[in-house]
Amino acid sequence: MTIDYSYYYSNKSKSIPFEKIDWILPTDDFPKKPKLPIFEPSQPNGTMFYPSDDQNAKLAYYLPVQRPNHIQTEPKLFKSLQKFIGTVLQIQGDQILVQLQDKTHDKPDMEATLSIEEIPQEDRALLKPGAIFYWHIGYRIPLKGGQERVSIIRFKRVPLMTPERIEPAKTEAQKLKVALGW
Amino acid sequence: MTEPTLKIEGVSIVIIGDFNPTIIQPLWLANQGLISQEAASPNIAKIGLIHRDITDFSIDWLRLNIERNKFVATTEEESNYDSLRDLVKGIFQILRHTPVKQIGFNRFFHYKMPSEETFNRYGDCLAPKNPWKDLIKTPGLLDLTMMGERPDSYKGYLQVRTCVSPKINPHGILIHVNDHFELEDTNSIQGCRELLEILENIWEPSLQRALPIATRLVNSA
Repeated sequence: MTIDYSYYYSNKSKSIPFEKIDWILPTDDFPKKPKLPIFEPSQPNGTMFYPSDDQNAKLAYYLPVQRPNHIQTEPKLFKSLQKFIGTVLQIQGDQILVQLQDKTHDKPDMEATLSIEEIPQEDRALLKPGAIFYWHIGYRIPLKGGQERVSIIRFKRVPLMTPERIEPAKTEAQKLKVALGW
Repeated sequence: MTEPTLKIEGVSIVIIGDFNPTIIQPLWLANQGLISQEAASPNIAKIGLIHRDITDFSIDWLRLNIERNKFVATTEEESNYDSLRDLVKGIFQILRHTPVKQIGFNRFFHYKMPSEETFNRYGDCLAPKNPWKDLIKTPGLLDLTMMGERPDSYKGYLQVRTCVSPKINPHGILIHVNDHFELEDTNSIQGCRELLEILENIWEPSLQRALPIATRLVNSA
């Protein structure tokens, strides 16, 4: 079911500033065709409702907010057997030479070779020398029962560097340099 | 089963300050490089609400709930704890002018007690019933919070709460360890710097001290 937003599109210039209608969830074609329903505070948790044409604008403007709690995740326990923090040293074809720091046992760092297949698809763009990753080996135990042995590699993500972020960092470094008398 | 069994655990980073909830949403996080583009796609990102007063969404390993004065990031799998810290750190490295006042690392543990007897003994051990038995009929412990000093030089406290688990039934117990920091200087940039320093330096010791607290408590029955 789609909400008819014609009311406030036709009236937005005289009644409600468009920027006030910020409860609409972002969609690719926003702001032309917002389609999502809105949250009904007076209904049981998680209930959505679809307002009629003449209710739309008022609700968009005055809608009180309550904490939604309809996002449910399936509870499960991860029992860790071993944890490493790894650093990518070199990439050779589909093999990756890494340095591993054992976070479970007090052992010296070691080098190992991993296949690129071990790296999740979504993290492969981060794969380059110097990249840091977390590697967990353990059991995933759902609340319902059973268990599966898993090996999870997740790359460390940091904010992308943009000129706007680099410049203040350079300025700060310059100040430090002067302060230290270098 | 003769011993309490850990069934669910997780960790939340809670920050009190002044936030703009509409900023922090999946696509923004992906564009900043803090989650993958795939994680921000509608197939994975489950959006509860994005509004000027509250943002609530989850991706496969993370849940974010941001109100105007409260930021909560939660994950329920140990393999993601470091990624959670990195994500929160990344957000406040970008939004470094955000005024923040307090931060809490909250670890929670849901245990299943082996029997009704152990379940009751746990409550009796933490809150003996003698002072209560003549005052109310069949007294039982519902919820208990104990507070203590921080073990380091930061301003704040350590709070341990235990109650009946809302997720494990029957005989479930929840233990919640709240490592709370009051930031020294709450004016914008300084506040965020201290927050980032705490996330960098105290995150791991904080996680490490929570588990033994929970283990000792639950085995006290």
